Amino acid sequence: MDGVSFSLNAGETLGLVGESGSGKTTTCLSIVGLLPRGARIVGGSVVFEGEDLTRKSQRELRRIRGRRIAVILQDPMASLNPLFTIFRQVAEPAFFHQQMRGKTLRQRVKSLLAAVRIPSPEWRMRDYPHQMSGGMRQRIVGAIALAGGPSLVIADEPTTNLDVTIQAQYLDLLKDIQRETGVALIFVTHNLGIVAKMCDRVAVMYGGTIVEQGPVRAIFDDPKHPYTQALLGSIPKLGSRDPLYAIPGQPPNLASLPTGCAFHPRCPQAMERCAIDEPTNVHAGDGSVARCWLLAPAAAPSHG
Amino acid sequence: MRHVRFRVFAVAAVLVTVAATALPTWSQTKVTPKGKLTLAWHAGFASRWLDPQEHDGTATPDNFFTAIHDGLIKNQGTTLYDHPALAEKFAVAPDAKSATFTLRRGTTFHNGDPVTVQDVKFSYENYRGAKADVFKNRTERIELVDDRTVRFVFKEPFLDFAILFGTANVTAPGWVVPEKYYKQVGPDAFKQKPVGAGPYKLVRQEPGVKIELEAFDGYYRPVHTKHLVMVAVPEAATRVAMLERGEADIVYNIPGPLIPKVSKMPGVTLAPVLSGSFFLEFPGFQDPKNPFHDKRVREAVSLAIDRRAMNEAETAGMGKVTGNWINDDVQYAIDWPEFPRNVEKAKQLLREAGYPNGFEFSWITPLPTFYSRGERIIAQLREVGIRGRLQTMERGIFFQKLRGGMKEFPGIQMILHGVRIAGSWSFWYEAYFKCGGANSRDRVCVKDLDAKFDRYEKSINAAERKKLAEEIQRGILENHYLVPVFRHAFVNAIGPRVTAQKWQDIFPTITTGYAYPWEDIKVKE
Amino acid sequence: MTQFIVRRILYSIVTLFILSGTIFLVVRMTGDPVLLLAEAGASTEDLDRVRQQWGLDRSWPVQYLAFMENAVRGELGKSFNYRMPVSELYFERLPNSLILGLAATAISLLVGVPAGIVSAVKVNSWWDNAAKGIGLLGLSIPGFWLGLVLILVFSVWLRWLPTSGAGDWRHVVMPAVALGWYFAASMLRLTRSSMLEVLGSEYIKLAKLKGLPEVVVIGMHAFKNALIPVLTLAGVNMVVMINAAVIVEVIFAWPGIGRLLYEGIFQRDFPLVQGVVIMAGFMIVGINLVVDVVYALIDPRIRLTR
Repeated sequence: MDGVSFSLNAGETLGLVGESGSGKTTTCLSIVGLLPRGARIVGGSVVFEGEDLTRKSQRELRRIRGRRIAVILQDPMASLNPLFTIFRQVAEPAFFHQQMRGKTLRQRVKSLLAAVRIPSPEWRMRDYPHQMSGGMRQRIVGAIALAGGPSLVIADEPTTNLDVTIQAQYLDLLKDIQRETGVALIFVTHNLGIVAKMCDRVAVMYGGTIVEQGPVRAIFDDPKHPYTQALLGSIPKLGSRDPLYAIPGQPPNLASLPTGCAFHPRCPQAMERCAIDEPTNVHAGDGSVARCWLLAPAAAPSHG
Repeated sequence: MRHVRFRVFAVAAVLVTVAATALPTWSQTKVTPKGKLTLAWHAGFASRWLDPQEHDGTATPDNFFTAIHDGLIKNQGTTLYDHPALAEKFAVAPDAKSATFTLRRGTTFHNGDPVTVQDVKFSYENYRGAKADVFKNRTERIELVDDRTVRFVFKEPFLDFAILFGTANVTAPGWVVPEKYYKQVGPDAFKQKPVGAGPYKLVRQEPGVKIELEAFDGYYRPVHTKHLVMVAVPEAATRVAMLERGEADIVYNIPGPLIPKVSKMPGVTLAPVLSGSFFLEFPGFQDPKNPFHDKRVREAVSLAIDRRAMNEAETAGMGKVTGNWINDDVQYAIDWPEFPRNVEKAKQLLREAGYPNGFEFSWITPLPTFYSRGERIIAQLREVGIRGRLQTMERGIFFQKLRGGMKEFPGIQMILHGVRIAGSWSFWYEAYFKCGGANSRDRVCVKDLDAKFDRYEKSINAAERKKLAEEIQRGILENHYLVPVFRHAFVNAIGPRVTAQKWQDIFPTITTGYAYPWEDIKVKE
Repeated sequence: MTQFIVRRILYSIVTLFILSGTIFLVVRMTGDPVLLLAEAGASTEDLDRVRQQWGLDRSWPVQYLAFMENAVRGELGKSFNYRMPVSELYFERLPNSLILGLAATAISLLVGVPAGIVSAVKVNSWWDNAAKGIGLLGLSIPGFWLGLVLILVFSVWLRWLPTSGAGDWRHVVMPAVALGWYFAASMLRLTRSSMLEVLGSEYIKLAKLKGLPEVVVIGMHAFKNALIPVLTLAGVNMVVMINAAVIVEVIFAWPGIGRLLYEGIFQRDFPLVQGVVIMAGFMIVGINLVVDVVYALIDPRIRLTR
């Protein structure tokens, strides 16, 4: 992955959009320093509340994970340890990070469960994951995320595995929590509808890099990058009878990217230069930035 | 004055003579037993071997019951069967219709009860082991002549009585058990806690694992070692390790490959006791269609076998490459020169018999688990053109097949038997050669020899019997009805703590491969 | 939970019935034991007498019924060779086998499980490769060879330990290692693969994302989940080690059940073989029951949905 650069303020929600394999999850994991084996951070920085996380040791990062940055994973059926009670799993961040014990801890867990709108939390605490539905489990995961009192929550496709009816409820919950606690939220998704509803800013990823980012309104009203345009064009419109537009071709394998712009083999507006030079970031007037030669055909190539 | 002195002298002389006769028996038991001897036995043990009443007829229980029990007469040292033990003398009537035994004075069982003629009668009548029916059917009555004398009276002349009675690895009705105790605890508990009149009494038994014995100070012979422990160690390499570490003083059954190692151990003596005879049988050779029907073919087999090589390879040369497979420690065994090896002559005989290129046989089946011997024979026979394969099977199946007769050995086959022949040669003939014999069934059936054997059995003339026995053996050997291979050596080892000039000091009894009489073994401190 | 246990017990009883019938038949199909109870040249009368003494002349169904009648009362018959009740023989040898089996199980668990965990956590490192190598050795080196080599080195050359037999703790060391070595290797492999599977799961990822200490993630979250197949194997292994460690027991002349059974088979001591197999069956069933209960204690899914 390369050329991924974005910033986020407290209380803001950034949507991270892209197809599977575009590098969204890897980006998130690298923020907290939890890369899979064989992956390393080669360059760049992750500045969180004034500190560069790439310079920190694993031990220091562990103190940040779950406490100041929390993650919500995608599959509620698999995210919870089947052998431990709800209480235990929700209490762990507070237990380990804030040394809460006894009555205070129990109170904390109860209030967390209440915050994610779990009915009868005192009873539910003693249950095991298999005794709950998917929607409830995902709320528990939300409670776990909030347990440490984080300032940033990264939600990796939290509603993808939920029923459509539950999805809306969950999204509302997240929005309410954000409003109440002021956390910053990075919302990873491939669903533009959710982006429209939840996010203030959006970054579109393709081929391991961000091809366009900016305020949601700007991106949706006037997408600059052909990929973004194609994505938006492929959203089904209610009442329309036109055939759905699908982007021809396959997303590239991050291990063997095409030369020049990663999207050029599939881009309907590709130019000669696109196959040779990687495009640089170009600021458009409305606050969005896009990485495309269409915006600056004469500009110098970016490095790397 | 002179006749007073004379009387005093006479009385003194009488007293001295009496003392002199009594003194030996008294001083004999004055040896203080000391030390501990450990024997590593080469298999598991069955508790039933501690009860002579249920002797199974194999050459196994005798190792055990000879320590705890004693018999009226028994096989000891070079005496084949009539060494006086509990009986100080015995005699078989000239017409062989009765046998009279006189009990030694002062013998007791381990629990203090004296050995009485009642016990002798009980042991004989209650005997349920091998050949019990032979004794029962032929005995008319038992007379308790007085409190020390027993007479067995037979219905007809019973010439083999003494041999059967006195050979501990054949039967044991003469091994005396205490009637009262036996009835009190019952036969099963008796096997767990046996009481006998032998040199050692049982201290503890861990069934199948260990037997701990202690010298019995009421035994009429001096017992030299105080503690005798027998441990079951089925793995040969472990037995050898025990010997090396001094954990065992006598070790049985060192297999061929380990013999060189043991022979190099300091202070250790190998004891290559001669054991079972191996010989080849040709099932169904009476059938004219069978190539072994022709005497020349059988002789060729005999000439082709390399007995010395077999001996070298299988028992490090410690076996005996004898002529007759009936071993010389058995009644009426004849001597026979070593069979020659002559491959050329063998081939010539085969040519004469009509097999210039040899022939094929189906299988050779050796006694399990001596398969390598069968392999060697196959290789040796191949040299003269006789080709066949090895058949292996489990021991129980082997005996089952033997008892099944010809139908279990279809085609052209050979069987390599291994038998420890004990007591009289006739026991072997009856089981392994005679038509209808327990193990021979219908496979051999040489009519003229069987007829002679009948006469032998019925004869009451010892000289006639000897002559017939010799004729029959000669008949078998000259005609090669069976081909002897060699006499196996049961190689044991004696550790440095045991006092011995030569191995025969510890294994003096030639009728067995075991180290009895136990009371004679001494250990150094 | 009680319902769970009761149902398990009922299944066990059915299993034991089937086991007893099977072993009864199989043992009789191996041939006539009387031949091995008497000498090679015994007369037919001798054999018949022995057969009658042991009730082997009755028809098989009658024998089975008699056997079951006694079995239910706790009498498993009397050994031909030892003339003792089989159950007495079994219980006499059981402590020895338990000592050896438990020592070997302990070795297999204490060596195999931690090595497997480390191997999984540091997958593909040299730790892992070393552990895989040890695992391979353990599974391929035959017990009897290892046993004899141990005796040679530690008993004969170094003179540190006695060669064989039972006694004090020094007698247990070598047989337990010879026996446990193989099982340690299989524990290692199973623990490793089970841990790897668990470590790749989402809830472990989440646990790490919670910032939990490494020890907690691996030791509690991962290990408890990985434990389930490991427990099953440990239970089965333990029963095998107690009842069927024939080779090690023969080499070390260890007075255990494996040897008892082996010698019984060779001697066609029917009652002994039947009895020991049934007792072993009881033990397997018992241990499985215990393992099932332990599962239910560990895994709430099993406990609460039954």
